[in-house]
Amino acid sequence: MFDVNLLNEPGQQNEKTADNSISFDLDPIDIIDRKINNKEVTNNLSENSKKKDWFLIIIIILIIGIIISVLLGYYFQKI
Amino acid sequence: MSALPALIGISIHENKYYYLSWIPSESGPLVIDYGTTIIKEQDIPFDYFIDKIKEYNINPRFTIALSNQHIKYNFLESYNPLIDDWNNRNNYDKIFQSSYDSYIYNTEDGNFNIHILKSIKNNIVNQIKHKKYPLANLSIGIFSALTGVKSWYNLENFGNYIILKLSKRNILELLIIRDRQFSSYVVGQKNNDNFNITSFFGNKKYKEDISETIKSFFNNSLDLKDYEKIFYYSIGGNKNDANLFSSFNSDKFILINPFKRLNLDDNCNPKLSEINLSSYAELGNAFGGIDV
Repeated sequence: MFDVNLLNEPGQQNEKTADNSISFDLDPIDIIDRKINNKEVTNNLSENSKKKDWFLIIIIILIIGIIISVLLGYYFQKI
Repeated sequence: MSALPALIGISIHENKYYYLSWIPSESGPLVIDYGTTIIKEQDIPFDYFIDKIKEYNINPRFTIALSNQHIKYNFLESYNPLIDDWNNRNNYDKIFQSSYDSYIYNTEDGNFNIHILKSIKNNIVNQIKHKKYPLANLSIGIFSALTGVKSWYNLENFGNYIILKLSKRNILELLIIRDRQFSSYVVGQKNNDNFNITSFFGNKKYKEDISETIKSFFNNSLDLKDYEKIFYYSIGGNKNDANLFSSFNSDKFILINPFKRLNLDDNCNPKLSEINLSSYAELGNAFGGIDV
């Protein structure tokens, strides 16, 4: 496939074009774990979303706890 | 934390650098910076592009797309090795060979040759070597856009297509791909409803067809022949022409917008019009071989 890279050796190019791809020597796990300025680089990354999930669960448990306490308090006051 | 690998693409057009920086991420290339800056001195300001993203702690690598200013092209029809050799000796004398690096691309009908001034190429390579940054690719305007189109769009089902560049003074550049191979590189000028080819490098049997096809864009007789897609972009081109292409309401005309296909970091949302975003098409060699 026709692909121009003037960094190749001059001369016939047709067999050299396959070498023009950009590649990074990176372990995929390395990409996933990276953070920039405490912000995830990648979308949908597990670590941050897990933290958010736990935070939500704790908040919901607390709210349910408060509601139950209020209801119980109200019930015992009536008795 | 180790530095992030980053790719900084620079394309040079007239008095401007267009640049775009990206880092690899789980969902593909993530753009962290892009923009334009005026060329103020002969040396490319590599550190300027790095400084703009220094908060990311990056390990940069560059790609550069040059303008046609220091490039020469020719197309030599191929007959047999003896005649080809004789042709080559007649076309290139010793002074030319010592001044230019020549890149030869075999096609069905002959050789398409790109020649770059050695002094220009060496100057760029030495500048970047001096800074100790790696240079991953050195390409040229519309040829870099082709690399980008191959990365940004799914071309699996298309064999015949055109990359079309609209420039100042109604100059059009075209890269014709037939059967997924280079067919010809054409430069011409639009004059009202007419289109005159000023330079043609490729198989001459298609020259008239291409001229007719381009003329048909401007005189309301749209005739794409067997071309399946026209990928177009504009760098300072006539806005009316770009609007004309979009007014065809044809899915065969595609305005190249690299940003549509890329993920952008939160602080990096493009606020330009689609046609102005297409000016970044020549940064395509920064995505060579990467499926976006």
